[in-house]
Amino acid sequence: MTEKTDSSLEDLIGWVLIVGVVSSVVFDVVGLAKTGSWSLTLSPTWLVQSPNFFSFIGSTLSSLGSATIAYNLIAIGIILLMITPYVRVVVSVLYYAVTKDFRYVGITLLVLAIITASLLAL
Amino acid sequence: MFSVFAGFVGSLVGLGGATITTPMLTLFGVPIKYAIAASMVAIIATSSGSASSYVREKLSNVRAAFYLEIFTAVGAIVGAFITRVISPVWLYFFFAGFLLTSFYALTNRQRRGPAPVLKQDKLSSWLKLEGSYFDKPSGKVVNYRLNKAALASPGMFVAGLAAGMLGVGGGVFKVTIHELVLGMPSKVSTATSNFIIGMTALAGASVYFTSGLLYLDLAAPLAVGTTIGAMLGARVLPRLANSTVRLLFFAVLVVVIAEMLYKGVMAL
Repeated sequence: MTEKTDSSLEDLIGWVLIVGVVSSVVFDVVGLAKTGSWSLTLSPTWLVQSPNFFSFIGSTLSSLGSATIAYNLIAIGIILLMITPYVRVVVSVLYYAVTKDFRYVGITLLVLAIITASLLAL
Repeated sequence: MFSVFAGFVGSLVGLGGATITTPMLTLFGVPIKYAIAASMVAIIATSSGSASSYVREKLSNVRAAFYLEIFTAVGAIVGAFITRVISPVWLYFFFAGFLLTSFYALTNRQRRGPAPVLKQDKLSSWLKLEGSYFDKPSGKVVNYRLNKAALASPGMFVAGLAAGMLGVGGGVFKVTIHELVLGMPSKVSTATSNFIIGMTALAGASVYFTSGLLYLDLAAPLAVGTTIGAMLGARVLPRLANSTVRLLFFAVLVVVIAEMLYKGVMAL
């Protein structure tokens, strides 16, 4: 019954994805409501200008007090969104390591390495 | 509000929301590179949302997805770098070309799905690319095996490249490769494609993130709108007649292709 071995991983990933998307959408909706306008502005305050994704997380968290509530909520919403597929790869690496499926530890680690390098803008 | 509409129409006609949001944003005067960057981030929401239910229903083949993601992720990163440097004029034409090939692939998609794989090649069996799913209409568990894993990798790279360049999911390309090369059953193919798109989109988004092309106030409403729209679409779809869906599909494609070509020609 090899085909059913990943069943609990699939449940786990399903939860990671739904929790990530729902929380992200909630943050974004509240944030957008706080901006008071649903029209496109493209003002420079909303342009992402971080050297990489992880430093954006850092700068968002450290400027929580100084930025507007709307900006904080929307930035956190986008971070949650982008981190969702990332978390699901990390979870998969751990799952395959625990179940000692080393071929797939290798494959998921490779995916993780590619995406981490790109998010770090290496 | 219009992104709700785009997600809604997109899920009705079987195209991702971004195929509609990007042309619409450019129509409103948003430069195409900003539209692409914001759509790339928004796609993570729609694909992860639908993938979460497919995965829990055990429809996606996660092993195949992880293996194929290696190639789509690299493709998307390369594609996004290309978009970063090339003249925006090309993007209008590439986008129109992408829509045309999607149109061709969607209209020629075989309804019955591929023939079962009887004997796997070495790589596919080493990768343990097999699975089973519960087929609701027939009430049976369907077992399947996949083949030609090596041949699928360059195809997935190209699918990722197009996705990263244009800020789309490229699901139509992925589904075609899954079915024609790997021999994946149609339902598994769609479900697995949705799962992979989350990673492809993150890979592309990671490049746009650091390129000074990503506006949060553009990405956030797109993500919210297309996700809500896609959910509404999934509810309404079963109630529509096939002929209505087909008419809508043609109308939408003709409009967006014409719009992108017009924009491209005007920008020359």
